Amino acid sequence: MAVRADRTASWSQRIFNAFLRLLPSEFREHFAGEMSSVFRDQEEDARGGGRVAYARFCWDTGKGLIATALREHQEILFQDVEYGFRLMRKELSFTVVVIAILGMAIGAATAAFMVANAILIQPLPFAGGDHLIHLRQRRPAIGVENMPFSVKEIEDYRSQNHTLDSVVEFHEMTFSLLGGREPQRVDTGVVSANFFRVLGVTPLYGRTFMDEDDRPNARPVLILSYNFWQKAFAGDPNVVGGKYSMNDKEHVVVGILPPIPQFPAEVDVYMPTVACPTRSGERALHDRSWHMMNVYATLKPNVTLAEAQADVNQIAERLRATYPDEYPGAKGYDVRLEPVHEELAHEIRPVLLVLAAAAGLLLLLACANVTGILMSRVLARTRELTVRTILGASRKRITRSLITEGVMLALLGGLVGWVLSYSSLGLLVRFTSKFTSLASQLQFTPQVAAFCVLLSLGCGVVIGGGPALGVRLTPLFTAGVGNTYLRQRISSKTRSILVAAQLALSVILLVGAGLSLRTLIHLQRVDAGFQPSGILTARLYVLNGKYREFFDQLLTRTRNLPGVESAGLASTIPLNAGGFDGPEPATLRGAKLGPNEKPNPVIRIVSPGYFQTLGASILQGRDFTERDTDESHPVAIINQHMANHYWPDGNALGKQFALSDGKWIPIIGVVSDVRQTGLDREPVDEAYGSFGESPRAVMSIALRTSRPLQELSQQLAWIAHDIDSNAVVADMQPMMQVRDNWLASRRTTAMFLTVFAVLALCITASGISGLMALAVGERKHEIGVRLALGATPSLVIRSMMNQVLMLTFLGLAAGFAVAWEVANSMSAVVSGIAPRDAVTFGISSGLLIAVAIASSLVPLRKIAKLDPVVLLATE
Amino acid sequence: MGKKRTIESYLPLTPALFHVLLALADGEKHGYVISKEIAWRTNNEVKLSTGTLYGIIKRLLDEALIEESSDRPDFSLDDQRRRYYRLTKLGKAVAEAEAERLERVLALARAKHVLGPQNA
Repeated sequence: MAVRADRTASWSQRIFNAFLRLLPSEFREHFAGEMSSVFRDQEEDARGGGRVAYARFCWDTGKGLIATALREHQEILFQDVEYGFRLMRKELSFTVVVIAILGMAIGAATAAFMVANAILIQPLPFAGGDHLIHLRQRRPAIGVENMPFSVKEIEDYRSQNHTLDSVVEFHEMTFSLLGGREPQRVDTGVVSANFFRVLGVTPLYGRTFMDEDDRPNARPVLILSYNFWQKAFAGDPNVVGGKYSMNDKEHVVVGILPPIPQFPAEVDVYMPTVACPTRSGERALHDRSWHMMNVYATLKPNVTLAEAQADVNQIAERLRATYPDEYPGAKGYDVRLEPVHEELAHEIRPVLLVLAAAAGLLLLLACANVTGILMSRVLARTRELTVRTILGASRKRITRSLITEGVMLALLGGLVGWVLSYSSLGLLVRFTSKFTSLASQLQFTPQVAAFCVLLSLGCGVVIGGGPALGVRLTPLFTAGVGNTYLRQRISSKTRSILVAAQLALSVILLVGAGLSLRTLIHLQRVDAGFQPSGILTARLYVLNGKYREFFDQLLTRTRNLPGVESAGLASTIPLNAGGFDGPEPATLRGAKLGPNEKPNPVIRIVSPGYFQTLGASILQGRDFTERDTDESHPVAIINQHMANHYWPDGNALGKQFALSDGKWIPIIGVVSDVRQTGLDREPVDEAYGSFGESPRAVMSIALRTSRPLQELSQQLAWIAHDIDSNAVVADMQPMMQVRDNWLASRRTTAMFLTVFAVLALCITASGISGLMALAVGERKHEIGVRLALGATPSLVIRSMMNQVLMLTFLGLAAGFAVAWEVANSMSAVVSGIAPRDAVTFGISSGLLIAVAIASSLVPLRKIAKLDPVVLLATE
Repeated sequence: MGKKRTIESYLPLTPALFHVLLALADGEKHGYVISKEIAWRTNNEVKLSTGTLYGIIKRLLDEALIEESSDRPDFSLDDQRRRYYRLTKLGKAVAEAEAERLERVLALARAKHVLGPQNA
């Protein structure tokens, strides 16, 4: 007997009735009225015993009710779990399929959460990381977004600001470390003495840098990164205090870092700024335009980012006014403050959102599929459920038992998902490391485990509750076994809707994967303007003023190496983040300019033979020669894009342009376009100057050879150090590797999306196949009559196939509508094709229709084998 | 159908459960009277709250140790929400078996002089 709200009931009675809701519904329905009556009588007795007795009565009553509720719920749960396991064992193949589908989907979602948690949600792994600000110098008028600082600029910002607590610097160099088992090239982070204190890093052994280490003439010291310490010294703590030679000076190892992701770059060792020969050289110390340092800072207490930005703006303004030659108004100049955490996650965020959305869609699809399967199974269990109803089980009780079964399946699926996501950790770290140095933070943490469990529970309630909801719509439990047609009709409709939903979700995932794959194919086929195979590249830093002689000798000697076909120098090689070539305002003579158009070609420096080495073609005019030096008249080569842009009649040759110094430079050649900054970036206006005329201390070399690149790389390093033992050779790698590194993140993103789409397609195919198998079973009688009346099996198959096609078109329409709307948000993984690419949409729909037809044909073909006589007799 | 349970398989009963069976030993009663009698007979040492009492009643009903009685008092004295319960044959046998078990335990305690002379 249920208790209904009684407006005249006392407050204590109302509280008691509220407490009764803790009890299972069947218990409540049976005893609540009676319990309410007993409570009233007991309460009257207790009131007679005084306040203490009444308080104790209230306490005992509440405690007793809660204890009974817990016991009753636990009993029901045990019964349902035991029953659920019996059913699972009985239908083992069904159980395995459902667990596999849920496992894959929950695994994908958990993996996506694991990455998002490590990169976007968790604080940075350094104690001071979340307060760390990156100072970015910009030249907005010419599109330079991150110009490193010079020593002079660092001194200005450090001394003039009122809002920043610690201004620290970092730059990366490559040096030779001698004194170990063998000489090693080590990537070296050159940092301020308080760099590690600002980050909040405590060393594993020894100490971090002290202020004394960064004073002129201080004894050179080194700190080893954890990975380098493991790799080069096998984790021997006695290396602290050891002496090693670097840059012809003795360095003492004073500390070893703990295993944390390094920021802002992964390096082998760290040294204070005074120990770096480049950083402490005369030119670096006094030349305001010697930009090479990254600068970070923390905010003073109670200072907001906006206040610090305003403070820094004032300093930038002062610098512009004081040094107009260094900060010309035409290029623009400012400094932007950006929290480091946001900066580290900036590149991966859009990709991660796309992948997380794909994992979410896959999970939805899996839930829709399993709900459909469970619904079919509930229908197959009509007799059993009816018997349970007749024996006294209420609708709520049946619903609860179905939800428990769903939760059990989902938890087992969650276990599979747990294993899958845990075992994908290595793959995810490799993928994430293409975007951010936070990749090493990826771990299967308790938060990830909790997410996996909660997600499984949620899925369980959905997949168990869905069929229960469907059952409650039918007259099954009120009208016993009667009215089966209505029951089937309603359930068949619901299952059809679920299959259409799966088709819609599949098409969204197919379009996503299709766009990503087509982008990858486009990028692999795109004419980058150079032939990467057989090219070795390296970046060289010359620390003294004799860089012209160094690079001239290097070119001559490498060109004479056996197997080297050509060699050339460039200020920046394609697809490489190194180099600071930027656009510069130019004045053109005889060019066709639009109104208000201001030419801004990117200026690059190359040597004779560079274009030939790269595989770019001189389309008009000539290449630079050894005679194009600072003693001759300056000349320039422009790219095809710039030639077509400003001299569309094809007569760029011989025309002139001038940069900020106002000198007119004749164009002596037009070279084919090279995609410098990315395979997905269209060429921009570029003008090349001759190395002979504008030599630089930091250049990249490219060697084209038919020999193995490994052999050549050793010879290149040997020659460079033979010419100048202090020269730094960095980033030595084949051009193919540069290109592959650039493509790697796109390739892995496409791979993930494709795996999701294939899984979605398989799950949907199983859903369609299951729906049709059930439809054939349910409509045996109708099929028998039609066959008996002369219809051919193919006619019956065709009419049922029409139903599948109708569902497919419905799903396609819904999926396309969503995909069309969200395609533009895929811009992070799409390039070279339109986000609403007709080919991708077309192939996706064709594939889905083909899979829908193929997966329904398997059950429908059984119709051909049916005998109408036997069918009608059995029905 | 499960195997038929022996009387011994119900034993030992929890004190609260045994008290409810004892309360019904001399005739059918409704919930409030059961709780009242238990409190009175145990000198308020055992007081069953509503939740605890009906948890026990449900268990006894499920195990067929008690049953609902269809006999109702006069209409004027009756509260329709109340249900009356009585022992089944099985319930009576289980209560007897539990009493005998406790008697044996008591005898053992006496033999071992665990009980003082005033309790002997």
